Amino acid sequence: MFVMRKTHEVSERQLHICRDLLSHRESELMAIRQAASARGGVYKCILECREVAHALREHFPEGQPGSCAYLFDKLALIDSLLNRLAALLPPQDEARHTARIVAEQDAQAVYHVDSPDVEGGKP
Amino acid sequence: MFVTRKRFIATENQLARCRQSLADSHDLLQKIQAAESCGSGIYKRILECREMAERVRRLMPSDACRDSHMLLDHLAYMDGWLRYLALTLPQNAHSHHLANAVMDGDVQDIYRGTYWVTVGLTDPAMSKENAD
Repeated sequence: MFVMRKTHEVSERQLHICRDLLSHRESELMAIRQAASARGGVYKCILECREVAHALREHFPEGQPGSCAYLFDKLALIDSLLNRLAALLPPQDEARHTARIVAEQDAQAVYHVDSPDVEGGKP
Repeated sequence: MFVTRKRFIATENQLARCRQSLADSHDLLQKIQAAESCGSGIYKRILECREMAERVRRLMPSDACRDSHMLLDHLAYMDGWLRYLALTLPQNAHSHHLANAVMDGDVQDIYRGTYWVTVGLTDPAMSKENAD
């Protein structure tokens, strides 16, 4: 029916430490979530990235895809990073529509370039 | 000298739940860190945004070019968004010099004339409402 007070105090101390650590960790995660949802959120940033690719494709329609292959390559890397982060940070209600648009697009096609970039190699 | 077993068990249960929540949040943070650091990390991507901006200026040299301006504006937005997020992510030893390079960069010059550089790229007060 009873437990030594000392034993209970050890548990209470551990609980106190655990709560402190949890509070700190939750603050870190909250800051990340807030930053990831700022300015339209991670999905808006993905759409911005894809808009750059679309605009490049329109500006360099045919015959010169190689001149901006480097750009497509780098944009694809950013898109990929943002998608990995988005998968871990579920969209808030207001971002669900943007998330759907992103999910419906074919990212590979957005950044696809037929010919390799000859003059514009990696730095 | 003694407390009731019921009280002790209640504390132990709270401790078990707290430890589980701590493990879960630690796990999530680790996954975010792994996702961020994959492929040289977020700071490398920001530097590449700036390299892209330079390349866009070279490919479309005229400052008056509407397409060039629009592309630079998108890149400025992405740079600022990534930078704002990067500040909240845990840094590792490898990302330190890249982070310094990012913070030392002159974004006002790189993205000169764009909307996102004039409103302040890393201003936390820039809400998503303002962005839309």
